[in-house]
Amino acid sequence: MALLTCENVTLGYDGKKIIESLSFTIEKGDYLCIVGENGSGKTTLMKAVLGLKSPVSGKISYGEGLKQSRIGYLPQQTIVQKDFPASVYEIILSGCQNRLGFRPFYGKAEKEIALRNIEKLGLTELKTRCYRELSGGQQQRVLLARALCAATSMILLDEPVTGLDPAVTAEFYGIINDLNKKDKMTVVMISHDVNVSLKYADKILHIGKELFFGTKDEYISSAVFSELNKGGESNG
Amino acid sequence: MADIINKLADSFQFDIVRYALIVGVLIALCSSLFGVTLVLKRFSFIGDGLSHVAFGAIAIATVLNITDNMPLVLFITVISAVLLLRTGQNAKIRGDAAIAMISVGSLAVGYLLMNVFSTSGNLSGDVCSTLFGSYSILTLTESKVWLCIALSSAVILIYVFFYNRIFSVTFDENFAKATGVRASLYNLLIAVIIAVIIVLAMNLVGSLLISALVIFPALSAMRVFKSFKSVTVCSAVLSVVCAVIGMLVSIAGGTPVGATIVAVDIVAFIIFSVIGLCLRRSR
Amino acid sequence: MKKALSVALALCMMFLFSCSSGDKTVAAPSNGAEVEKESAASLIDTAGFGYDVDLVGLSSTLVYAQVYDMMVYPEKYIGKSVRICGMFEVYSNNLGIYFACVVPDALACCTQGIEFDLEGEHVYPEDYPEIGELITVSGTFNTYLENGMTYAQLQGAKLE
Repeated sequence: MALLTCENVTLGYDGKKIIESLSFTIEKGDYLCIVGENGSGKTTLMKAVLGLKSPVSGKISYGEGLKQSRIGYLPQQTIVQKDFPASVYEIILSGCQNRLGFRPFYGKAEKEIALRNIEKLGLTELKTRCYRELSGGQQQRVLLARALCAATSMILLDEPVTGLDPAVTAEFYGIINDLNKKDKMTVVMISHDVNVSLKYADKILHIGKELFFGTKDEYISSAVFSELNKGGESNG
Repeated sequence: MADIINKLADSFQFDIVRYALIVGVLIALCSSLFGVTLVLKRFSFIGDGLSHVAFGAIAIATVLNITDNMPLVLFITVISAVLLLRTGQNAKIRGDAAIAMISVGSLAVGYLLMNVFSTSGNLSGDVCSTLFGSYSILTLTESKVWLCIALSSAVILIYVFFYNRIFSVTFDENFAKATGVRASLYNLLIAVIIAVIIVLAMNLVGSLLISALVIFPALSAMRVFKSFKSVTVCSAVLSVVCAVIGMLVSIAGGTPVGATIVAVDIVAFIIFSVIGLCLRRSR
Repeated sequence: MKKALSVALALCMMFLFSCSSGDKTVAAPSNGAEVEKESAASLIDTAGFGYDVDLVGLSSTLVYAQVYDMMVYPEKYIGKSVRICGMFEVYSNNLGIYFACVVPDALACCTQGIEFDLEGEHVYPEDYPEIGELITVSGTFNTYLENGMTYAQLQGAKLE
C-alpha cells in the first residue's frame, strides 16, 4: 500500500488553477524530487500534502500508518527565524510537539528523540549554541533535525539548499541521501537543481506546463526533459 | 540616603502602596512574558494600536458614566485584538494601515467624546492619568485590584502551561501547523491575552507607554541571552525589577509612576546592550 | 605584573583614606555634639505624635494618591488622625466658606484636597493663612452630609 496517494488533485489560488488533475503515489523508501519552473506550484502542492492548504478537487490519502501530522517538514526559512533567540536544542525539541497530545511539557521520550537526531546530524557540539549565530548550512541541519523529530517515516524538504555554498550543499545532499538509503526514510524534496535531482532521486515529479511523474530513467527519456534541455541549450 | 530609605519605609504603611506593588509586579511579569512573543512575531505596533483602542473604550465608559470600566474596556479591546490578529501572519501584511487608522481614530474620538460628554471636574487630569499612568497604579479601586490579580495570575498560568506551544507558533507557524499544532487557535489565544495584558498594563504605565513596558524587557534580554527560555526568564525578572524600582523611585521622589518605570526600563536596556556588546567582543 | 600594580594601587588608596579619616576623627568631637543635638530633636518630633495617616514629608505622588484614596473610600479613614502638608485654599458658595489643604499631583495637572475645620472659633481672613501658602494641618477625618452629598473633612483641626 502506498504511503501517499494523490488522485486527480487540482490546486489553485483565488479561482486560478495552478495544478490540474495531478495523480501520483509515493511508496515507502522512495526518494522523490519535485522539479519545475518557479511559481509552478511546487510549494503549493507540498502545503496541500501537509494539510496547510486544501485542494480544490481531488483526494490526498495516507497509508501504512502515516498520519498527516507525522510528516517531517523542512520549510523555507523566514527572516524572523534567522534572527531568533533560541538554542539549537530548543528548536529541535520543538519538532516533537506533535507527540505531546494534551501534555504541556516534553517528557524523557521526546528529549531522547531530540538528542538522537542531534547526534545523527552531527550537531552535538552546537547543542547549546544560539540559532542565530550559526552559519546557513548549520541552520538548515538544525531544521532538518527538527523535521526528523516530527517524522515517523516521511520528510518533505522545500528547496533546502537555497543560499548555501557548493561544499555545504553537497554535504547536505549527502546527509539526506544517507537518511533515505540507510534509515529508510521516505524523502520528498523540492529542488531547483535538476542535475542534483537526477543524481539522488528514484522518482521525479515535474510540475509545469506539462505534468510528469515517473522514475528517473523515464524522466530522462521523456519529452518534458528534452524540452528542458532544449531551452538550456538555446540559452547557453 | 537614609532620608530616602526612611521615606520609603514610611510609605509602606499605606494600603495603596502595598497594593500597587503587588499588582505592579504581576502586571510587569505577565506583560514581559508575552512581550517576547510579541516582539519576535513583529507585532509590537499592534500592542500600541490596542492600547489606543483601550483608551477609546475608557472614553466610552466615562461618557456612559460607568464607574467600574474594566469589564467593558476588556471586552472592546479583546474583540479588537481578535480582529487585528485573527489570521496570524496574514494580518500583519493586510492590517498595517488598518491598525494605524483604528489606533489614531480611537485616540481622537475618545478624547473628543470625553470633552463633549464628560461630567468629571478635571478632564485633562483624567485623560493625562489614563494616557501616562502618573498615579493610576496607586489609585486602584478594590475591585480593580482583585480583577488585576486574578487576570495576571491566569495569564501567567496560561503562559507556563502553553509555553512549548507558544514557542513553536512563535518560531515557525508553518511547521507547527504542518505537524498538527492548531496554530490559528494559539494565535487567537495570544491575541486575547495580549489584549488583557494591555488593559491591565494601562493601570501601571498608562495607554501611551504600554509598548515600552511590553517591549523593553524583551529587547534587553535578547541582547545578552541565547536560548528562548533564558530570554523569557530574564525578560520577566528584569521587568519586575524595573517596575519595582520605578515605583519606589516615583513614590519616594514624587515623579509620575508610568514614566519613571519606563525610564528605568530604558536604562536597563542600555546596560544590557553594553553587556551584550562586551560579551560579543570577548568571544 | 598586572597583579602587582593592582595590589600597589589598593595599598595606596587604603593609605590615603586612612589618613583623611584620621583627620576627621581628630575634628569629630566638635561636630559630634551638634549631631547629637540634631538627632535628639528629630526624636522628639516623631515620638509620641503618631498620626494614623501622616502625609508630611512624603512625595507628591504618594500624597496625591493617598488623598484620592481617602476621598474614594472615606469609610476606611473615619475617626483617624490625619496630618497633611499642602497649599491653603478657600472655597465659597452660598452655603458658606470652606477651607482646604490641597496637593497637586506629580505632573501638577490635577489637585486633590481635604477640607478642614479649625478647632475653636476663628475668623476669616484674620485667623487664617494666605491663599496658596504652604501649611501643615492635622485633625480627625470625618464625613458630613450637605445637600444630599457626602463631603470629607478634618475636624478639630490644628495648623502648625
